[in-house]
Parts: sequence; structure tokens; C-alpha cells
Amino acid sequence: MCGYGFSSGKLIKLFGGILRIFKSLLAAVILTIGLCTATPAFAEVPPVEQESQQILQREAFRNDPQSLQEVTTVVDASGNFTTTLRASGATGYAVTCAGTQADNAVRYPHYSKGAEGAISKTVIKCVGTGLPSVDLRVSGIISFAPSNSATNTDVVFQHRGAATATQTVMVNGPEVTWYVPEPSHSTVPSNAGRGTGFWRATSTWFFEVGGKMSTVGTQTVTIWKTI
Amino acid sequence: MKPQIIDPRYVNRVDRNPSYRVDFWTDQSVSEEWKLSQVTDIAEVLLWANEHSAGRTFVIYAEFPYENGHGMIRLLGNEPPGV
Repeated sequence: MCGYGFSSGKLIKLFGGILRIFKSLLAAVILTIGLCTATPAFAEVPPVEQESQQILQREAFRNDPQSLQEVTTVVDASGNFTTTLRASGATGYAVTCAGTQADNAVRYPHYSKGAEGAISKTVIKCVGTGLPSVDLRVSGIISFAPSNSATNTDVVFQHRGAATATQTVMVNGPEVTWYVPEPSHSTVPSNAGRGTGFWRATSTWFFEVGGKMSTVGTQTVTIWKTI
Repeated sequence: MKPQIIDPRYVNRVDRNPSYRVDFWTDQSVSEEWKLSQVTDIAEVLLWANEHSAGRTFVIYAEFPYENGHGMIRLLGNEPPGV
């Protein structure tokens, strides 16, 4: 019966050993998957966002930024931007524009029943001295990558909506909101559609003082959800 | 909260019949926004919001017009974080 020279006890031991090795391998695979899902990482920034940022960089610097006495863009530990503009002297000013939530100027896309689809917003507040207001220009994009799983990061983002607008923001005044896409001015709703997968919102912003523009801040948020 | 006696003359505009906004939220994924006009007062808005919440959280704002559009003043509640 045991024609290969194994007793039944040895065969059971051998089988048990193989089972243990298989379990170890399985545990390693599960651990690897767990590590991968904990921090989904996308290989590259979608070209549409790169293009938008390049356009904004060109816009920001076309008006001779050398005339500004100081321009700083501060990145905090979580990668968010605070855009600050200062000028010394009798007509000096110091204004900082940033998100109104500690970690989030750009908000996650969500489904709005009134908009009949996905929308997102960027909310910014300006604080400082020496100026009553600044003109803040925000360009936002919504992208979407279909995916039935939050752990699948091998996805392709599609452009779903965009908006660019300049609003005057009171310094030390209320927060100001920019929506993506822009609201519809007709009876046909404007939105970024629906779907299950990774929804990404990117905004870039800068502000103007006396026709001069600051450097550009930008933030991207991505979330997997059904909209 | 910081209460203080104040000279009332720093205010020169009052809207006695504002419109209100009530935003209902289902976690971080779905919002449903309603505009309420011809309202008697905030108590009426609060009653309506509670009657229509269906288990959702809500935020109540008063609306005000300005030269470039409309603004809102938050009166009650908060949006879910992140949206």
C-alpha cells in the first residue's frame, strides 16, 4: 500500500509539514496584500493635472514676480499648501491664504442630489494685515478612475470636470468656496457624473495683489467611493 | 463664547426675511440641499429639518446676497469632515 517506502505515520508527518509551509506562504501573501492596501499608491499624476499645474505656473509668473518683495509657499508635513505674500515698508502687507480645515482645502468629491452627480469644492480663507482683500484664482479638476475595489490601484483616471475662477477674498473675512464643476446656468445640471472607483479632486491656487501674482499652491485628494 | 455689551450702531443692514439652506448629509457620500424661502423664523426651519432628516445629519444656514452672488451664515450643525 505504501509502495514508496513510507509508513502511514511518516506520510501524515510529511503532509503536515507541507501544510505548514503552505500556511506560511499563504500568511505571507495575505500580509503583503494587507500592506499594499493600507496605503494605496498610484504610479503617476494624471497628465491632465500636470497640464493644469503647468498652465497655472505660467499664469502665475507672467506678471514679473520679481517686483514682489517676498513670496513664500509653505508646505506642511501633510503636503498641503499655504500661499503667503508679503511686502515691507509703509504700504506693507502680509497675507496668507489656506484651507479652512487643518488638513484639507480641497474637499472630497461627493454626490449632490441638487447637482445630480459628483461635485467637489475648494474652501479657502485669507488672514493677514495691510490689505482689505486679495483676488484669489482657483483652478480645480475632478478625475475618476473606475475600480470595483479600493485595493486596486492599477487604474486609469479620466477627466470628469473642471472650473477656474477668480474671487475677491476679504482678508480676515469669511471663507470662500470654489466648486468643480461650475454650477449650471441652465436647466441642465452640471456635474462630474457618477461611478464606483477612485474619485480625485485637485486644485491649484494663487492670489493677486496690485496685478502681481504669487506662487501657486496645490492640493490633491483621492478617495474610493460610490457616487 | 465671548459675550460683551456692544454699541449697536456698527451694524447698518438687517434682512428680516432671509432664505435658509438646509443641507442633509448621508456619511461622506451624499448631500441633499434645500433652499427654504418665505420662512417665519429659524424655529420653523429647525422643525422642517428635523421632520425631513430621515436619520441624516443636517446643517442649517441663513443666506445673504452680496454683489457677486450669495453667501451663507452657518447657524446649526457641521458638514461631515472632508467634504
